[in-house]
Amino acid sequence: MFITGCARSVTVLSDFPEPVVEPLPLAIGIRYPAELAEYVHVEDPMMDAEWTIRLGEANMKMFRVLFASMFDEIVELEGTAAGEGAEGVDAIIEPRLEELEFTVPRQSGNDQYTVWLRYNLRILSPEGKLIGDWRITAYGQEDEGSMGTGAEDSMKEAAITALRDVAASIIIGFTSAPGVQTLLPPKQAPENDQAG
Amino acid sequence: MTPGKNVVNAIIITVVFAVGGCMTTRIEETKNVSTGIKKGEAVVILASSYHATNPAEDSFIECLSDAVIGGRTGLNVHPASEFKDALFPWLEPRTAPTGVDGLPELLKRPGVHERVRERDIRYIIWIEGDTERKSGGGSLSCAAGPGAAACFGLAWWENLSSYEATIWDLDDGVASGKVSTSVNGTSVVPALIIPLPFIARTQAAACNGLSKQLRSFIVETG
Repeated sequence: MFITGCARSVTVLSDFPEPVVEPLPLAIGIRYPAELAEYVHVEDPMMDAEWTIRLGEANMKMFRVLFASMFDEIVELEGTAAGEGAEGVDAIIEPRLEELEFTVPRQSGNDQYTVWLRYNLRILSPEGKLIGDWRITAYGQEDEGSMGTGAEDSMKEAAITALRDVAASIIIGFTSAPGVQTLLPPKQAPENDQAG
Repeated sequence: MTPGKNVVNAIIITVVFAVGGCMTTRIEETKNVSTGIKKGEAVVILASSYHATNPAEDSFIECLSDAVIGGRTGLNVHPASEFKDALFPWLEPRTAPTGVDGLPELLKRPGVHERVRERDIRYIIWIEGDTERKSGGGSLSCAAGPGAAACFGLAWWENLSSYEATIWDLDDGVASGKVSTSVNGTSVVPALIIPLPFIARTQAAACNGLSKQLRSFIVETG
């Protein structure tokens, strides 16, 4: 009963700004796995209460705003089969959140809540053939609330900063991600970074 | 109160005021180019990226933003979060320019210059630094019984608040200069029955000193 009373729960909700980038001339199908939209991380770290972090809704909001800005055309694919519903697109992207790690001030010995996120962006041809597998690690930190209060708020802000970091990583690294250069028109291919 | 107790209390008060006066502030300024700000132009104050430096605490940024607005030469401060959102993702910790060399690249990104102009932002002020405890000592113990409680002893600690502001002029695309402050202060809590906390608020003093210097740095041309 005591441990249940000390458990901490965070539902990360946030709006994400529209990135200032020039869209790439691509039509992209996006398949969001159910695990991404319903992502929940539960962990009982040493020296702290059990944490439940719900990141699903924030995941979806971040990716929808990001991809809508990055590409000329976006199609959200409903099915789960490899190329299902992907007619007319140049490629399919499947974002997955593979891992979430966090630390709290009691563990790290400083006054920061920190969150690491590891995503995998699978890039597929319209027929469903894997053409690129891109792993992205993102990080966010937030000061501890004064007098030890606001732990949930600090963890939430650290997670939002990490999600913004994911978006930044994807924008600056997409055109040089595995397999992506084969999709780009010749004038885009030599660029290292996204046009934005 | 007995005469003996009066003497002891007088000694404590004397010690407290003597030690409490021990807060030293140092402010330095380096100006590279002429500054100045027109009516309607604004500044934005941002913590530096934690990927490259030691960013200031959120509480210090808030204090400085509030303090820079005030006074006869108060500046127009644009909200940092709105500005970061407007330029997303180019001022995130991973992407923010770490030196003035990165400023032209930032401003030439499609859409960035327009958004800066729309908000009439003239200067970006990057803040790094922190407040840390340098040392401490003494002993303070308290006891409570039925109908009475008392504390005896003396505890002290020394804090150092050290912050640096780097000012970028977005009109000219140059680093205008730097203003830094360092405040060293000793807090003391003597107790003879009642503890008398005498706290040296070094972070608040650093915020106050840096804000005044920043205002004059930007407003005074030359």
